[in-house]
Amino acid sequence: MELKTAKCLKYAKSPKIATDIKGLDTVLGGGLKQGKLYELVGRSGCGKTQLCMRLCLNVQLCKYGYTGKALYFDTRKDFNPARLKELAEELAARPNVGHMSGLAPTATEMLRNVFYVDCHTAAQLVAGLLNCHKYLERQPNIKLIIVDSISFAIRSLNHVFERTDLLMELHNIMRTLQTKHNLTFVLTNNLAYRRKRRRFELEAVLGKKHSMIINTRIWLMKHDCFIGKRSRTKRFICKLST
Amino acid sequence: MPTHGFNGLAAMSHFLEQLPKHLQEIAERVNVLTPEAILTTPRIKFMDTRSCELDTCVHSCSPEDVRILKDAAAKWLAETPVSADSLFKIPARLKWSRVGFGCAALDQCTGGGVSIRGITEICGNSGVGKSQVLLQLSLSVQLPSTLGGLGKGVAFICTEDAFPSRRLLQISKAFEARYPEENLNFLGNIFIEHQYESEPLLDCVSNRLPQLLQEHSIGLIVIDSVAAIFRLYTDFDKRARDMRRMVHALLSYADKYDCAVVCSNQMTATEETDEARMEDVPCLGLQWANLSRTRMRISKVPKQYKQGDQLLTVRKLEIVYSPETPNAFTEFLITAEGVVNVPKPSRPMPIKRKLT
Repeated sequence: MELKTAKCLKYAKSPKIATDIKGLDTVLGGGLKQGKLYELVGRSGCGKTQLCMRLCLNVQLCKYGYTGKALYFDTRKDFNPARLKELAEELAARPNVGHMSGLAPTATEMLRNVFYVDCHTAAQLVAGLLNCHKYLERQPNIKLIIVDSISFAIRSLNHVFERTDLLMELHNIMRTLQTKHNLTFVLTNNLAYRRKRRRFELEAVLGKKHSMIINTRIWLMKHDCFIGKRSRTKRFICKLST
Repeated sequence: MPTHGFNGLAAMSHFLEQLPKHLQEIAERVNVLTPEAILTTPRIKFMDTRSCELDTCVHSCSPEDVRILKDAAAKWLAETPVSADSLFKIPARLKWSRVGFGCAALDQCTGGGVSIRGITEICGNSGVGKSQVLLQLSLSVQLPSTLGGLGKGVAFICTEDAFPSRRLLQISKAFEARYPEENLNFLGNIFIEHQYESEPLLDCVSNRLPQLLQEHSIGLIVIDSVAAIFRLYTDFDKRARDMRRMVHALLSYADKYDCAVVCSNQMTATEETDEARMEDVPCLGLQWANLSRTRMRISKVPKQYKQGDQLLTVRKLEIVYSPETPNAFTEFLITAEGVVNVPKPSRPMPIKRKLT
């Protein structure tokens, strides 16, 4: 372990995965960084799964020749390959998509670089994540792992203490993968009403310990996008266009 | 709660047998025997020696042993990731097939019909025609896949009124007239159950439904309606837990037997705090919304269509959210034949005039 100066870290150019939401990309400094854990929170139907599918394609087209593959863990069966194909075809049809990375991939090639694991239970999600190091040996180019959605898998257990223990184990596994292979993780979470003194407020599920461990939490409300750990401390970033 | 049949027990013992002896002892001491349970039990429970007697010879369990045990369970359970490209080929593609409605406008709007993956929710006020659409779905799922169905039967759980069997007979006659060459016994493949309370319903879904799914080939599970049962709860924690239990059971059957699950929901009025307007939202709140995958809303449109000597109100189906289709809406009518498109009004052809 070597000590680095802050100046050296500031000028190090690390590749980032664009999210295609302009205001969000500006605030994040270009996009999602390597080795960090991001969480997308929002109601059903606000576009979390669509954004995740978009990120799977954007990871293949980053700047500075950083092309990577994506691994998608699906616990809610929200993934649809036909929709991913539509997004890939729309992206491939844009004229200036190739100049950033020097390649001009076709829609089928982009689909071939996205790997999909169907998890029916929480145990299968844990099994999939534990086996990640084996997948990474076969496909060393995987740079992005998406877990959609982690709250659905954890909440399938009945008791709260079982859930907390399992969540901490998952974080442990993800943290080793993050540091060892420098991967970006994107999780998807739900909202629920929590009682705060006399009123009910919308908060992200899975508790305070979990919100301390993730790096950045991105809220996707109906027309607005926020960044912040709790409902009260979230900061408005930009308006979502569609 | 493991729901393994005879095969599951054989697989479980097979998994334990191929482990080295000291790992088997660790697993048996904590009574955690299936690979699923090994992965979801926290590490500390394996290493906890507080519950053992002092005079028994306790083998110490190191974190390394637990790690090896979990890795072995993960290797046993895990699926290899497949590239998204290969999901378009035949065995995987069947997981994303759809059940058509039997009505062209609805099929086009929903991208082919109701998806097999996840739970589809149809919400609407009372009397707009949700049960009619569900009845039509129960008939169209029995058609072969060339005509948009799955060629399988239906399990229909009624929680509100008695099942409308006369109306089903009426619509099935219209279907027989439309597809005479199929020669299907439509009414013989629909299994109906009436449950009016929550505990018997959960018991039916956990125990009797899997038996039915094993004996007959079922392509559609309908619960009409889910709101009638869960609105009666006063303890919201218990309501959330029971909803989740039911949904996880339904999703596991849908996955195993490749069938679609459709639930119908009612609407409730709420006051939007920032706009001070009374708006209708579906019942059961955020807990239920997080569990369903697609939500469609049926409502009445202030338009009427004259057929014969009757005035029929036009209905609208709107997709509130869905992972694959855009938020489209379409209009349809409910007639004696079931759910049909709104016929286009015929206009006289314009007379072409020559320009001189």
